[in-house]
Amino acid sequence: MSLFGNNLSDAEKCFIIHGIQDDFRTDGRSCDNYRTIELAVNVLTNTHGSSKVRLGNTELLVGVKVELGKPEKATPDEGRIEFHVDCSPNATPAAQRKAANKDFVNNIESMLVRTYANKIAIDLTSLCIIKGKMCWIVHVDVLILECGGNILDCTSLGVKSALQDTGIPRVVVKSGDEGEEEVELPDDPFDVQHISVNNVPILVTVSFVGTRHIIDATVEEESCCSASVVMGVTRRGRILGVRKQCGGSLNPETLVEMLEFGKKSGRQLHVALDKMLKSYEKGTTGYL
Amino acid sequence: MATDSRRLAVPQSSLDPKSLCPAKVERLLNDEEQRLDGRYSSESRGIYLQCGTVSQAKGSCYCELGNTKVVCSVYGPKDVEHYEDFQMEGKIKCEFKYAPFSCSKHRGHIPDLSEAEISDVILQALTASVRLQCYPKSLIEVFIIVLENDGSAVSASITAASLALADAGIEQYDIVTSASVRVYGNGNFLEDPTSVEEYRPQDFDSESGGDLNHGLVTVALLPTLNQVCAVLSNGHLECDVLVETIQMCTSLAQNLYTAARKCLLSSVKSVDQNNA
Repeated sequence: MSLFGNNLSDAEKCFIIHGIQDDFRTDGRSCDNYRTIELAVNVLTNTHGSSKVRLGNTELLVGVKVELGKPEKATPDEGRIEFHVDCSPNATPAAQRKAANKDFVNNIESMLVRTYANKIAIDLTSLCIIKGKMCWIVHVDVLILECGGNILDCTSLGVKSALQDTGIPRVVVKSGDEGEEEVELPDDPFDVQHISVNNVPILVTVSFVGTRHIIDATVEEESCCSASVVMGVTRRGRILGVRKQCGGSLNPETLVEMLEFGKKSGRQLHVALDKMLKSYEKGTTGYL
Repeated sequence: MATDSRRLAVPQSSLDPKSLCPAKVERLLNDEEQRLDGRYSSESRGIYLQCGTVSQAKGSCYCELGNTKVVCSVYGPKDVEHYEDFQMEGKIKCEFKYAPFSCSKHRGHIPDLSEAEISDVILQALTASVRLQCYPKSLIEVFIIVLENDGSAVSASITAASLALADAGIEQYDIVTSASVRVYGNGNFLEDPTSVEEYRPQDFDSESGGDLNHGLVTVALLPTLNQVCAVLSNGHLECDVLVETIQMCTSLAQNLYTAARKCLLSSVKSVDQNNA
């Protein structure tokens, strides 16, 4: 991630690290606070579900499209969910460098795949229409509009809200001629079913800067960070995948503290997001 | 699907015939608490390490962990490519690849998403140990290829990569050793899992509503400094189980230190003999 960090001088880095030591960050937050999160769902008309999230200076759009497809041979009774992340040079000048951009995007995609690759996160059998023949394929496309640090957490918030918003047409399977099954789409475009997002994970990045760990690091703080841990946390506090990032190392005790801290923050974030989505009115922006 | 025009075209999609057989629900532990290969849960496979296996490379290491076989070679330090910015610190490039025939499923020639992710994790682990400030304006290249994957390939690769760096004479704070543990149901920790024992998304107990813990955790450690330099997990785990598993991996990785040291010493000795 440091590729996208701006070039801070040693004095500036020192200032940030000392501030964090005293639990007072450059934007006035304490170590365990998120920046204000602005969220809007159902923002794109051509998608089945969408969301727009802004976390400090980080902004992204998530669009979910569902399409009919064939299930994988190995899992005939399951649909699929596919993630695609795109970062244009609009978001950060570093995206112009192809190799760096690819690494950056792969990093986000692989963490999403890692945390969704289990039966807890999402029930893929509910996406199956005809066993072995037809299923829903859910394409989750993330477009990063602005990079302001903590992309991973922001992405996962957007993905969860967009999936919650996603309406899958309620198709009817009928037996047609010669025992072949036929699929009929409903006439009413609002006749849809929703994906259960109760156990969908939110990614929480805990960064270790200087001598303390912080949450929701800005770009400047990310460039001072020696090591960070990303984890997928469900609403119940289960952990669906962990990865250490950045080139530093961590004391085993510190690592444990960071994991527990991340779990706690993740659960709080889930509660705040669910509350906001429940009371959400279309066309407005909600705040977490 | 990404294709490479320089290579012979193969069918765009093919299928492993084994996947057509009805999936056997195998229990990984029998009633006598033994695993499929006869090991007990807290029993690791033997490890074999040898440095200097690739003659063309500056440093190299071959690692065998049961049937898992990994080769790692290190080139450099050499000049960074001209378009890179000037940097006071050296740079490491790491490429992890499963050989196309190494897994039960055929793998493509082009690194896929999971291979790119593993490369990145290994790179981060090595960055923590290499004294990069000693190599300004230079690039150190690490290439890892898995010849046969029978589980724990990532941890074998990390250990091999660090030894290859040491063999190349790259300055490091410490050797990196790594170990994996599979969490199987509540209270079962299978050390050093084989490929059958590794976590798959299908591992889910529908009766219990997914209350059981399933997952695979890999940890890399700087053994003499007692610092964790890589953590990678998948599956679904409670936080306290995850913490316990990480501690278990740490102590397993610690145990590998003696073997790693021995391997380095013997490689130095053999070089000495050749020179004499």
